[in-house]
Amino acid sequence: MRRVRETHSKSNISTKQQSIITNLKVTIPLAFKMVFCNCLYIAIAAGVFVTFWVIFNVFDQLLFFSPVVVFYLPDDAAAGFIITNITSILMGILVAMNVYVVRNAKIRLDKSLFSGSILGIASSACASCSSIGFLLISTLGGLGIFATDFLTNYQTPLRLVSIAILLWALYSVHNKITKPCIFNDKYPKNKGQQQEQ
Amino acid sequence: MKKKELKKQANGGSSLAIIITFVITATVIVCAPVLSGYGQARATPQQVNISNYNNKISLHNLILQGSPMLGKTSAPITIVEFGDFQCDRCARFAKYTESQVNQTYIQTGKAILVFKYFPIYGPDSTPAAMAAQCVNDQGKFWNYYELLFKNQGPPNFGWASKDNLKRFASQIPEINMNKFNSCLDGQKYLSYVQKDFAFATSLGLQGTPTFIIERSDGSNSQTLPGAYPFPSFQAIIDKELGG
Repeated sequence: MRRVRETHSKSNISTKQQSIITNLKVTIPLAFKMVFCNCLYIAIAAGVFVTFWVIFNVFDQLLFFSPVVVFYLPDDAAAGFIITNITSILMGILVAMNVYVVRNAKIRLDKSLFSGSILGIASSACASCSSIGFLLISTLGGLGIFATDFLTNYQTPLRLVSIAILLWALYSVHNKITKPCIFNDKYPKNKGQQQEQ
Repeated sequence: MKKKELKKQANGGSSLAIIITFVITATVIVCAPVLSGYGQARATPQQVNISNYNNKISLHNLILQGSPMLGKTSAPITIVEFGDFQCDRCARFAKYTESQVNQTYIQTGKAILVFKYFPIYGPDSTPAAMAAQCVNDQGKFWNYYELLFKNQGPPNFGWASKDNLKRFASQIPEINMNKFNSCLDGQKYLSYVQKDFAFATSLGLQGTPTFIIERSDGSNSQTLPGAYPFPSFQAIIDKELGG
């Protein structure tokens, strides 16, 4: 009896997961189509992407503006460069989607967008090598050394966490965009309609 | 009426969001080079600072101070590197850019590279700097420089412990380990490293690596605060040599 219950609950979970995945397969492209059919949002996404790409690469000391404009990618920075590119792309998409939500649904900007972007920037700036690190060390002493060590040693995991937060933000903002389009049978009016049918 | 108000509010919110986005974008684009400390805007006050110290940074003074050097002392250009052996960006310079600078300007007698200690990364930075200066006593600094950056680990996690510093030194051919051990254990160069640190801060330097490229008499100094790639060095040195 117990085993039967367990298998029932397991199959329930797997069908739920499958339905979520099939839902996402439909709703994510739908959200993208709804937002990016307008050139304004493509421009916002591109602007934000370029901005963050520049910030990340300047902080990572891959892009230099003086004495000559140079971009170089040494082997030790390749993994970080890929992660920052993903972060910049996600930032561009998210800002554009949030602007779309604000314009069309009168909903406040998603908090996760801000937390994701702040964490992304903070973790990407290798504090120890910049003047920020020096200031931290000189003003906070031992605590500053700990802070810069932490930022330097856990730079990649922090960046991965920021990507995870951005993905979660993307999921929640896509929900806001597509929710009005999905038929919800729990809504009392819809329930009535279903019964009539 | 309600609908109109809602629409008005929605439009207000969207335009505010767009304005915020563009303000952030514009601010970041304008401020990125300045904030990161790589822009010319920061280099200029440092130039003034350095000349105020009556060419303390001239090659003649650097020779007197006993700083490690690579190249001929007759070279017209001096590149002074302020570095920390625990800094990953210093390691990046050592691995990727130093060899190009060496081949193009140092081997040809056009420039000389001088290293100054700027141990800002924490407790393990100073012993690493002292060990390097001990090796410099035996004329093997640049072998040790390469070895330390090659074996660099996360800062203050033990890779630059005394035992490891001795182990790295033992890998240098023809080094006198007894002399090195007594130098490191006796902290012979502690005050020397502290003087270098004070010198760097007196010049207003704020991070590692920082490079000062100048004529060997100490004039026309330009600062590169960061692990700049070879083309940046090339642009400054060629201009100096041409002028």
